[in-house]
Parts: sequence; structure tokens; C-alpha cells
Amino acid sequence: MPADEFIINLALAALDADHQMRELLTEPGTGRRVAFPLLYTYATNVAFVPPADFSARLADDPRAAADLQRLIANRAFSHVSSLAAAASGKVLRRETAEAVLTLTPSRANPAHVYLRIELVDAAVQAPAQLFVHASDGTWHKLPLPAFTEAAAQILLEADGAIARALSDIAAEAYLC
Amino acid sequence: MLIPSVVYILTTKGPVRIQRIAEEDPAVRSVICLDGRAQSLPVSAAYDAFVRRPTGVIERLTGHAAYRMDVSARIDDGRSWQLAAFLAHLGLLQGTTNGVCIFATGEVDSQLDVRAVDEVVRKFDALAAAFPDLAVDPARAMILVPATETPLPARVAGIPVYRVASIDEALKHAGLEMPNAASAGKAVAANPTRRTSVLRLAGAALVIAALMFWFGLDLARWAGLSERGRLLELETELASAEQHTGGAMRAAIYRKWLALHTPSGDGIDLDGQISVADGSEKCVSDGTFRTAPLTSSFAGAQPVCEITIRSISSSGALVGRLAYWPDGLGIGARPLRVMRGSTAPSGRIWNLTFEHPPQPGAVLRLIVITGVAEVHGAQPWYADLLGEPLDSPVYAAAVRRLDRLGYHVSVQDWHRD
Repeated sequence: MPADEFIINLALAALDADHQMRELLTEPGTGRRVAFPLLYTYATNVAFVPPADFSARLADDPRAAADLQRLIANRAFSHVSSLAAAASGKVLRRETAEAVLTLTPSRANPAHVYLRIELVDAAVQAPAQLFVHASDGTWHKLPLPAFTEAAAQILLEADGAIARALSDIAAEAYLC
Repeated sequence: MLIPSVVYILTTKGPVRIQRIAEEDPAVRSVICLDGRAQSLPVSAAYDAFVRRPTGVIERLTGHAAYRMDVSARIDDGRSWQLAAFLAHLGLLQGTTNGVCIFATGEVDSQLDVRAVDEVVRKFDALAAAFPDLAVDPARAMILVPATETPLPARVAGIPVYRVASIDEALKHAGLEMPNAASAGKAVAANPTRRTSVLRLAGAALVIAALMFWFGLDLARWAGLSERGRLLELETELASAEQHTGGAMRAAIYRKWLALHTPSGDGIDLDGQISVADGSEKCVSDGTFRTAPLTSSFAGAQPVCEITIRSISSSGALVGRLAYWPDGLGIGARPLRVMRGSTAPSGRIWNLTFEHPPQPGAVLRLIVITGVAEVHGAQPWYADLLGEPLDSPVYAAAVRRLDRLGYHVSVQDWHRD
């Protein structure tokens, strides 16, 4: 285990212990905070699936939501900012200096849509996950498949949360 | 023409039915999906390579570059699904059915030969176990497997087993015919009357081999870099070779060869569209827009809300950048926006939506670079191409730099007057 990972784990354990102690001292239903180690694991572990009430707890905890945004933003390979577009309707393409994200409706099945992520520089280490921050404040996480020829493609439900958020001009996204 | 109505892929876990094949937008990669769901299987990358030119055989058969194939159960690995997929594509292409059910396993190579695959006996066992649930009439079914020396039963669950060495043989067993366009490539390889051409090719290969010997490995390495679009590395290597006499001679000859293959600007088609707010002083999301063809400038009073430019190349691969200079060309440390554009049929498309409508003096510049391959890696020439006046020596030097690497530069400027 690299030294910095050991230190990170130690710090997370300390934060977890502190969080549990505060939980014990807080009356149920009086605004319990989302533990930082949970945020960290959500942001860094591709395979981690958060608890079902994760989004609801984040919505009740603005400080934790801000912490999560900072965690993701600091680790991001590329930030896809929200658009102040003049045109109305859905966004089908977003560009950053590092990547181009395209939503292409499936001809074979209109209920599906292809998300294609093209990297500008094929030589960089490809991102492993996509975080989408919807305009209502909820976060969506999508593990990415392996990139081939600097591009990855994911098939999504067209009316699913991720596709809907990505096509919303007010949503932002992070490739990590 | 008789076409099988059902095609199954033989796997070690049982036969997997090809439920549906449908065309997709060529901008996406082909996928194999599980039972109509939004779940592409890991084998999709291999399927895309099987479909799309230059490696794929399906685009050669159908002329279309992207498909979605739905299957009834997971296919995790390998290429043994290719024979069944090929036959199913042929069914889609020809559009009628004969009620025959085909079970197939085998890899199909670029010459449309069927290659051996592993675990055929285990696949037969899995088929025999699953057969009672399939509701298939053995008299209207057949099993196609690669022709190998391995002993195999003559029938499985009452279905005859046929060994095939090529797609042609598979089609004969199935009572099908190969479309002419698809078999053309095969015919070239198999027709003995083409022997003269083969001898000529062999002679040309000998000449190339002699040249390669003289060039050493440089030519192959430079050609490889060029074909992969690694222009900056190619430029560095050529500059390094030019430092000594022998290398300079090889580099000069290679540059001459590049010059012969540099596309002209004739094959580039640029067209665009400008959207201005109609009846409003601002670009608002629920407002209405008036669109018009993009010219070199716009002097109207209405706010410009969006500009779209499309570039089509008939003379090679195309890349480019669109830069937006709100205060004038080259004014400021860098453009406010630089866009790489998105892939469009035969080219790229740039769509710039303005957060704040451009004011008089604002400039938009599109640089399009065409050549033998899409350019990858660092591209330092864009700084000069996107920010310098067209009549400046800096711009001319950047154009010349790419020209010496076999790439042509096209430009389109737009001004807000």
C-alpha cells in the first residue's frame, strides 16, 4: 500500500470515528450529517454503490453536498460546465478542452441513447467514471467502460436520470 | 432467395438466439445488447470491429457501418459468434425467410473463410440439453461448424451437423446466395485468372522491399507515425534525421512522397448557418430565431445567438478547431472558446451557442486540417493558426509546417461588424 494511501485511510478512519461519536450524541431526526468517508468512497471508488437514501441525505446536508462537489471537482480529469445556451431544447453535445460528450439517439430503439465520450488527447490516462450533477442538485455516477481509440460508448435509457441530466443545459458533469 | 428465419449462436452455456439486428447511426459503434435492454455486452467492441471497415466484413456486405444486435443471453468472450452473426446479417439484408433454423459457431476472417473455434463438443452438449425447450423442428434445422479434423457427431438432437470451411460453403448448406458486392473481395483472392495481377503485386512488393532496405527502418516508422496521425512526433523525427547527410536525404525523399499525397483544398467543403434572435434584443431560451447561411460577416442589429459550421472532406481525414475571439482576433491571452467539433458524416461539425451575443469586432475562426489520418497528440500549430492574421508570416509558417507533413489547412473567418 503506498504511504499516501495509508495516510488517507487513517484520516478517513479518524473522520469516521468522529462522525459516529457525533451521531451517538445527536438526537434522531435532528439533521444528521453525511459522513465524509462515505462521500470520499463515493467519489473515488468506481465500484461503490451508495445507500439508497444517499441523494436524500445529501439534499438535507448542504455542507456534505458542497464537500462532495469539491472532492469530485478536485479529482476531475475534465469539468463539463453547465451551459447558458440561447437555444432551447435538449443538449446533445458538450465539449471541454479534454473531451467531447455526445448523446446520439438509438435508431434501433428510440428508448435508448448512446453516450459517446471522445478524449481530445489519446495519450492521456482515460477517466474511469462520470459524475453528473443535475440541475435539481442530485448526483449521478456512471462507471465508464475501457476506452478504445480514445473513445468510450455507453448505452443509456433515454428517459433515465443520467441521459436526462446530461441533456439539460443546467446540469454539469465531471470526468474522473 | 431463401433466408433462415432463426439463427442461434452455439455457446458452452447453451444456444443464444439472435433476436434482432437493426441499423444504428453510423456515428456510434456497433453493439450487442442483451434481450432488448440498454445493456451492451463486453463483446460489443469485437462486434464493432467485425462490422466496420476496414477490418469488418459486414459493412462490406451491407454498406452500413453500425448495427445493434440483440441476443437472448450473454455472450462473454471470443469470436465464435461471428458465423451466426454473418448469416443473421445476410438475413436482414435479403429480408425474406424460409423457416430454416441455423445453429452456428465459427470465426469468420476477412477472406470470409470460417476458422476453427474451441469447445465445439461442449457447445453440442449444451445444445442437446437445451433443445427440448427451443421448439425447433430438427427437420428444418441445421448445425454449421468449422471444418476441422476433430471427430464430431453427424447429428445433435436429430439436427444434421455440417462442417464448413468458408462462408460460401455455409451458404450452400443453408440454400443461400452471397450478394455480389460482398463476395468480390473473396473472388479476387480465389480466381486463378488473376494470377498476372498477383505476380505484378509480388514484383511491386519486391521493389518496395528493396526500397525499405535502402531506407532502413526510417520509412516504415515515419509512415506508421503518419498513418496514426502522430504529426508532432513525425515532425520531430524528420527534423532529427535532417541533422545528418544520410538522414537528410531519406527525410527529403519521404517529404517528397508526403507532398504527393497532400490533399488539395478542392476536396474540402465548408458551409455554415447563423441564428439571430428574431424580435428580441437578447438570446433567450424560449425565444424564436431566424437562420441564414453563414457569410464572412454579419452587420445586422439583432443579437447573434448561435453559429454552426459543417466541414466535409472528400480528400482525406479531417480535424479542426473553432476559436471564438470576443474582442477581436488575437486580442487577449487566448480565445474565449476553442472547440474541437464533433464527428459528422464525412467530416466534422461545430456548433457554438453564445452566452453573450458577440459584439462588433468579435471574430470566429475555423481551422480545418485534412490529411491521411486524423491528427492525434499535441498540436502546437493551432495557437498560430487560430490567433494570427491570415497575411502574417506566423500564420504562413504554421500552414507551411503542416504542408511539409502532408496536411492541408483550410480556414474560414467570421466577423461581427
